[in-house]
Amino acid sequence: MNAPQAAVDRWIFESHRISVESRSLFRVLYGLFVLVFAMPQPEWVATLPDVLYQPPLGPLRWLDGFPPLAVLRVLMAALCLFTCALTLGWKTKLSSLATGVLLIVVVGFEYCVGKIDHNLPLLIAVPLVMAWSGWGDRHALDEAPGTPGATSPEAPAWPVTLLATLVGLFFLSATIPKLLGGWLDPANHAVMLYVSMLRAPLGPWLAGVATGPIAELLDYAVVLFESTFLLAVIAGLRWTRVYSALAVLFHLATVLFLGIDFAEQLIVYAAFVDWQRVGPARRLGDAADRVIAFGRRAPGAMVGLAAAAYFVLHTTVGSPLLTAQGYSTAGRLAYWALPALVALAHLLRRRAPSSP
Amino acid sequence: MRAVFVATLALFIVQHVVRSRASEPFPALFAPGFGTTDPAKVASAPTTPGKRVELQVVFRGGGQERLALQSLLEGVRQKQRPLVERAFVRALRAARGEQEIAGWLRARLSRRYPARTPHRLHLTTVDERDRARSEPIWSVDLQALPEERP
Repeated sequence: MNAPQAAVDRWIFESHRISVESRSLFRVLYGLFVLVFAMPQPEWVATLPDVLYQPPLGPLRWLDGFPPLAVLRVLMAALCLFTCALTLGWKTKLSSLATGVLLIVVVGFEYCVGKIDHNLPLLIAVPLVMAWSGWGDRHALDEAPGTPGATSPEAPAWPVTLLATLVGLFFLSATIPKLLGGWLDPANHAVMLYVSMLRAPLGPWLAGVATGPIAELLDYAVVLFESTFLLAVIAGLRWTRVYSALAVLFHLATVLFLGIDFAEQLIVYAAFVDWQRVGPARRLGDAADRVIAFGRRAPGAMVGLAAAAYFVLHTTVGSPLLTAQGYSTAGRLAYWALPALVALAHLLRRRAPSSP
Repeated sequence: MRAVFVATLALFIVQHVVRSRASEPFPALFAPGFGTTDPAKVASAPTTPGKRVELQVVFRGGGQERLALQSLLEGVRQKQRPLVERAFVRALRAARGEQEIAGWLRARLSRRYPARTPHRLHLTTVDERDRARSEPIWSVDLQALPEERP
């Protein structure tokens, strides 16, 4: 094996190594996040006339119109089942893949009205990629009783590298149309143009402050951040963490100044956190262990009951996030405030990362 | 695993080629003919948040009502309503499925006004900041439609 190939292999297989314990805690967090904050509610598409059915490129083009409500309910029931199974770590690889695929299908129907939201693709990528990461090895029904954490102490690192690469490409793909579309043209103040169009809470304040060269600088700052995320991923886990922290602050800024909320993306950056060292996450793991110990005798029944209860709640009450927060500015700020503070603390603590 | 990474990069490139051919509707800076920092051009962009679609409903026997198309989208989440509204406008501007849309709107209006019969409909885009910029989209005679099946 020659040197460049060895370097690439080292990057793929070693650069984003996170302990099995941290990955497993992340799995619990991810499952809870989807259940509480991000479970789709696609039933509304069944109320639309089929003439609005304009699926993007993909298998949904085989259909002539929106599916009936009953089909959507069945898909949602399956999604609730597999998401609960993923959270509790039951048949984790299968439930991870099924959750990812069902999210693609369900969210795909919502995208058939003509707009693809960019806040969900990475959320959907997480279970599809992390299925291979050994994230179900601990705090899971799959775990062999009496031998906590005995399975796969050295789980592969490449899924985390791949997920980080996807995040980097995601940001890069936001840069390309900007560069092609004249975003950096000195005649444009692209950020300020959007600020004036979208009328977010702090938009008028920014419009008063960021004029002339400052406005142009903002255009460059956005492109610089988005285009260099992938380089950070190539540099290794430490820089991925730095850029993930920057991304959280970036999302807070887009909420404040543009009113654009990528709420669902928050959990994706959590994949790179060393949760083992975070006290509340460890306590969550302990709580998960107690729940799992309770359900060990009949894991299938436990998952089924949890999924049924959640499905009924979700179908009747709706998404807990939307119910509690709606799309109010205060709700959005409350949502991003704590992660932004944590991100800021991380950046201040690691102002000068010395090596990948 | 190396193949997975190569495939990911290939997919990334392919989706950019596809997307550059069929970009999604968005209040984009990059739309053809779209101005740069000219506020008037911002206001005349097709899908700015300040614009909404308004229905003028003329009832049989006289009387009319104005209402936002979004108010008929019961069941559609608040966040999705503007994009559903835009989907209606795109379909109508492309003269696609007009009869289906008319039937769908008539059913919704019949539920909204159970004691009155909608006779004609006019759809208009309304700029909330400047009503003079309002632009008619489509008109339809609902009586010419086949009767609704029970």
